[in-house]
Amino acid sequence: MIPIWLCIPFAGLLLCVAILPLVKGEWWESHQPWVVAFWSLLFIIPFAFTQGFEVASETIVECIFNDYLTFIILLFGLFCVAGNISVEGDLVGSPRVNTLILGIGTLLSSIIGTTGASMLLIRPIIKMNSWRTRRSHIMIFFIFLISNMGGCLTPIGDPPLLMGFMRGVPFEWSLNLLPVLLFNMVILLTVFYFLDRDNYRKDIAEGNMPDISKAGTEFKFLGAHNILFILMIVVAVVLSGSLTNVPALNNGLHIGNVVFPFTSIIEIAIILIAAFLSFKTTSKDIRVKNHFGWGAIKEVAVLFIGIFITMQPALMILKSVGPNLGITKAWQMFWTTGALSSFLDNTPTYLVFFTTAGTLGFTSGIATTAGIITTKILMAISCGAVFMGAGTYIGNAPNFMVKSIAHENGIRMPGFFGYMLWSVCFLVPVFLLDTLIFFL
Amino acid sequence: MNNSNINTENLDKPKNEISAYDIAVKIYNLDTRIYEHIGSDLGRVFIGDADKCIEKLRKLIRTNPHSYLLRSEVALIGNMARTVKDKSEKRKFMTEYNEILKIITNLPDGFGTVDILDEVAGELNVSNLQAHHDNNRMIICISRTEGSAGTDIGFALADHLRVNYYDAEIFKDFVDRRDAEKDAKWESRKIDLSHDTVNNTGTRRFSRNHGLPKRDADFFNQSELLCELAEQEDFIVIGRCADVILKNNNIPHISVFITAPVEQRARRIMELEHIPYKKALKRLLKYDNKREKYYRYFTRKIWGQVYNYDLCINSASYGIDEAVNLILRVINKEGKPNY
Repeated sequence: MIPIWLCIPFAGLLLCVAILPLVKGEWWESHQPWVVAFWSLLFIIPFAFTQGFEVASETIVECIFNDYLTFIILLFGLFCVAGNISVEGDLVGSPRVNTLILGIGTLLSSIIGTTGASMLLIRPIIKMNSWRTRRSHIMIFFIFLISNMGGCLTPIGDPPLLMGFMRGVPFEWSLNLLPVLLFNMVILLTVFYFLDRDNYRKDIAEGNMPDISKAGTEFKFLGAHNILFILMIVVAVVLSGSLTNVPALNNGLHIGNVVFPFTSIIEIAIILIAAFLSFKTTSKDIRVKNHFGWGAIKEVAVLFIGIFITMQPALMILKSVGPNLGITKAWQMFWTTGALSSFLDNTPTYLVFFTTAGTLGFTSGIATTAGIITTKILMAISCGAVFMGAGTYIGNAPNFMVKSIAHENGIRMPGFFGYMLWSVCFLVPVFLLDTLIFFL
Repeated sequence: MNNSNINTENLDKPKNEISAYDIAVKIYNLDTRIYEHIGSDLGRVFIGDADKCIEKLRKLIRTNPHSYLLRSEVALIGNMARTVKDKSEKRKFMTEYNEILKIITNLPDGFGTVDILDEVAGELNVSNLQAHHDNNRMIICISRTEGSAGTDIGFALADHLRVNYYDAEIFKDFVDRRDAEKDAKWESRKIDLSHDTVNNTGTRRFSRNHGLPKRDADFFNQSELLCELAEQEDFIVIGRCADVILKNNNIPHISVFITAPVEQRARRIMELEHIPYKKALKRLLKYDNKREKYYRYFTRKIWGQVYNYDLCINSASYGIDEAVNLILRVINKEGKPNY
């Protein structure tokens, strides 16, 4: 059993992410890698002492190669390709246009993934609203809907569902989550519309005015061919899930006792080729227009390697105690999976409760490799893992990216706890309604 | 003055006003230069009219120099500066950014007291400006309740001063004409104003208004028009939130609110329209309500709240001619139009 005090570095790192930008912003900007290294070592060294050097090195290598590398390469690929697409238009960011874009983006997330949709739409929405002063709420609802909830309809949408698909959940099964998603979208988009309208009026009252002098709204999709590269990346993700059934690819590269699967290598190779081709075939001018820089991805890469390493003991504890928590009901699955997904990686969290549900001995439902799981329970686990990733900046891969890109473009985003306050105020009531309507 | 050496003692003196302004200009200019250097299309930290942004910053520096807001605004500029690719430019920007940070850190807690609560409003007061400058425009914004003869007073005033008069109808015509011109331009043909009208199909309207609701797009078009007119001529404008639009654009003007007791207003409508009292009352309430909502929607201020205007007149106590004279006395143009 892993001692619980080994989770202290994870909590310490999260506190640093939350507090240091507020109290020592400049210092934090330049010392992030050192802080990450400090907390990572603070976990690795005692872990090696208590569990042995071999277990520790295996855990770290496993975490870096099988979790972090695929995570960051996917994010990197989509960040690069989306940065080469510029949507030029004269559409003005007004409450109804913003609501419309958020609605479309939410549905798009299930087609090209939450990360893909986020990276594709973040710049156009920032640009449309560049005439306004109050913009942070738009980014926050963007994270709620496009970076998280929208991914629930297909296994492409969000990695936990891909894991479910790899374990026998039919591809189209996720469409069962459509009523929940639509219900949440209606509530959140309505709330967003009125909130945005209030801020929009404040902006107008202060004299902010958009430029509507042009005769009409023109759209130019510069670097449109990059859509092909986004699709290439989506295919790479699907392949990594489905190729596991091919016997020849069952093996992988051996790093000590850790196997780095060929499927992951194929995925990474395709993503990197897509990113490379995207850069080679796109004019630099588009990246300049998009204010493309490496700052956002660098920040995410540095912080998340620390988060991935330091959260290992929490995941190990979860794996060992998860099945014994006595969680058997749908609403319990929804909240437990969700609450943990807000802070931990939602994919292993999903898998823990997916496996637990499979062992509960249901006789009817979805036949998975973990056992039979009822539709209601599987819906609860899936919704919890996908929706509640929006709970914090670290809950899902694109959250922090959106925050960083917004920050680089003059939008003052709330801090870690400030964002959590938004999610508690706007998301928790919606999740309570979800519980009452769908999971009781 | 060496900005990095600002101290409390210096800032308590009258010239500190200039220092706060200087810091604001420094911050604004840095944001502008970084934004221009990056060549991004995605917006910047300080959006909109430069004077307004600087004024807002100056106020923030004066009233709350150690606030999180000021620091985070400056930090956002730092974020953008860090994305500059050219290393020597980046160094230059970061040096300037660090200097600003140092200045802000050394700011005193307060800048003393001020005797005008809303300095911007005071500076835009036409009667103040007329006393010191000869080349400022004479723009009078009249807001009025229904039946208070505000329109007649405005018209008579324009006649007396021999300046142009604009009201909602005239603005609507202007905007419709602009929209028709836009339609013609969009369809790549020459406009024929004798029979061209605005194309009101849903998609064209959406495109012409850039996705904005018609009312909002009209407001923005009218605001732009109002600012253009203010550069060219003196005029009287009725309604349209003109007082707030001009204030937001730092255009000197005088704002007048004209009203009268409900009963007198209803009786005036009765006589003018030959309608029963009840109907007149209903009509005035409907129009007042409409104007109140319009004003509140676009300005977030309360229509008719006395402190939003330079001058409030009860037209029932003066009548149209005397109300005109009263306004002329206030703007110091009594009986001697200089046109």
